[in-house]
Amino acid sequence: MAADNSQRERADNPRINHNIDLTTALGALQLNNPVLTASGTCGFGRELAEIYELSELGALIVKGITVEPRSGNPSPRIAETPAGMLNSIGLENPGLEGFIREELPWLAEVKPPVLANISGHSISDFSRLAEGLADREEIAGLEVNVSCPNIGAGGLAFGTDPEMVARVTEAVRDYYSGFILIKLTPAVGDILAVAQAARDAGADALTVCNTMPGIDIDVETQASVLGNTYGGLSGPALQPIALKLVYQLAQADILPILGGGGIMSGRDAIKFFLAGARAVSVGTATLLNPLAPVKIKNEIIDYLEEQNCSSLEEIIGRAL
Amino acid sequence: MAEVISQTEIGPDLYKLKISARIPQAPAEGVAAPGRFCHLQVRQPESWDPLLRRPLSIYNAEGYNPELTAETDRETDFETGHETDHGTDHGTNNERAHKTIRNTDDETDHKAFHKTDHETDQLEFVYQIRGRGTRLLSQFQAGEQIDCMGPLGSGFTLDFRGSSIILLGGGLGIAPLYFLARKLAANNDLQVYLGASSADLLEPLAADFARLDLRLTLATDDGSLGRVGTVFDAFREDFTEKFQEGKNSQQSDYIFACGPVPLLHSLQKYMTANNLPGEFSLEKRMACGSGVCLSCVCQTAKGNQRVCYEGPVLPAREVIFNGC
Repeated sequence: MAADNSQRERADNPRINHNIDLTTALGALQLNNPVLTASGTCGFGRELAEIYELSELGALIVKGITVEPRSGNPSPRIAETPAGMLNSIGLENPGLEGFIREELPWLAEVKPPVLANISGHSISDFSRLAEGLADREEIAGLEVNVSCPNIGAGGLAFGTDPEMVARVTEAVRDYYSGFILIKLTPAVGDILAVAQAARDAGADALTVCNTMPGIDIDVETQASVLGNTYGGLSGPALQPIALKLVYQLAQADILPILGGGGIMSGRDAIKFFLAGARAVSVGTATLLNPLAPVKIKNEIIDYLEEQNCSSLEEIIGRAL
Repeated sequence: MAEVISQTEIGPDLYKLKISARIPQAPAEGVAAPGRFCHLQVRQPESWDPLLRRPLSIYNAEGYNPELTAETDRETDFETGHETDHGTDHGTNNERAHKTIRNTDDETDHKAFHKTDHETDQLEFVYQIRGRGTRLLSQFQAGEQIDCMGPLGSGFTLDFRGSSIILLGGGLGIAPLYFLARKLAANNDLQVYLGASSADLLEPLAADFARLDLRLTLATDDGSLGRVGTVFDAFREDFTEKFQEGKNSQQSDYIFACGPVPLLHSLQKYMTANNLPGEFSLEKRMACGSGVCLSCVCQTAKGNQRVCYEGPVLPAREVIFNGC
């Protein structure tokens, strides 16, 4: 049945016969195509798998996990802002054990690489998560969230301090020998210092970037809209900020970059490639249309064809 | 893409939107069942503002899954007002209508679209202008295209026959109950309580119910239509009497409700005290509508549940309103 469907999809999808080489790599992580789902916008892949074949994706970065289960922040958890949104989900997740028990068996069946996203309140939280996920063949690597604006201690505070980023990265590297992405915050003075700290401590690549802290205020209630007061800004409003950080980091050539921030279309993704990203993560766009990553991948192909490129590689860093 | 068939102002800032949308016909694949919702894009295609879709529960649908249509032998055609025959009895639908998205503007190939053929379906929504999104929605005119994702979520239980069923709707919470009333009226004893702040809002919301085979009780806060007070007050008045007469024990009473949280919370306490089962349709600020973002979760006895996925309809006894 599954084979039938994929054959039909092949036959019906004109872009399946394109001659563009979309393969890319983030360090040692080889990807069939450069479009990834951003953590927190694809759950653990189950809901999207009801809608399209996950093999359409370059990789999945699944919902962030913490050592203990979390029920997340109070409602409202989102606010719509000009061409963007704030979220303060608060890392609702089943915890490390729940993830291993409930989600890993399913993720083992997912075809593209799956990266687990980990968050913690302390260095030892990160160590425990890395230890718990070490040698798990179901996942292709870890994305280390040193930049969550929605948890109290730790979270964003780690990501703004190069020394703390180094310590978190080391803690993870001590237990985890596989692929490590460090997810950076845009709310930082010197992004180069943070990135260098991550590289020196053993990171393989960087995710640039997480959401930007923000707030919205309801003029009727005269209070913050969000239950947790602050949230993280995502969507088109974040795009130029993320793009600038990618550009700046690519110029410095510190580590391979997974770029993302308000990528809504193929042309948005192209901007990140031109700025030096080797792959892109699609997040908020999936919340508007679950098919967005597939659509974006197809639009990337269209652009490369228009530009007479035979591979994605040709355009990476061209704007630098 | 869906096409706007009509957009009618039926009350103060109150609109009825009718669209034609391609809905997959295979069972459990995007069927338009009572209690489910659609996620509508209100911005123009070239704009990213306002960014998010707006969820609207289905007020009525035509030409959807034939198994569901066959629930009633005779019913009023919602467009023409003529009675129509819907043919043979296909039995009842024993499961709550399933989740699964299956309709967006996207040309991209799509599992569900491969599995099944489509036909043109008509969906109706009733909504009130509450902010920017609904104001923009009200500006869509007949003939225009609108990006409609859905139907989504899990709807009301429909496998009732010969049951005594109570529907309670407060304010715009009335909207999802009309489709349910249509499905249940022919084969069940239906008592419907509808309430709103005043007559100018309640009258248009209740108008379609009055044409169905059911007992209708109206209530307004200001007494301008029906009884004075909330719809819960009206219900409690009637049923406390009934329970005191000891009539409830052998009846299969079941309650469906939708409305403001204080109303549902009061009702829940009453239902618990009187051991009445039922289901609530909930409303939450929502982003993805497809279960991935966890924006719309609601606390329940089973832990957090997503209003867009496990809901919007949840068992009444499981919802924890303090955390909702």
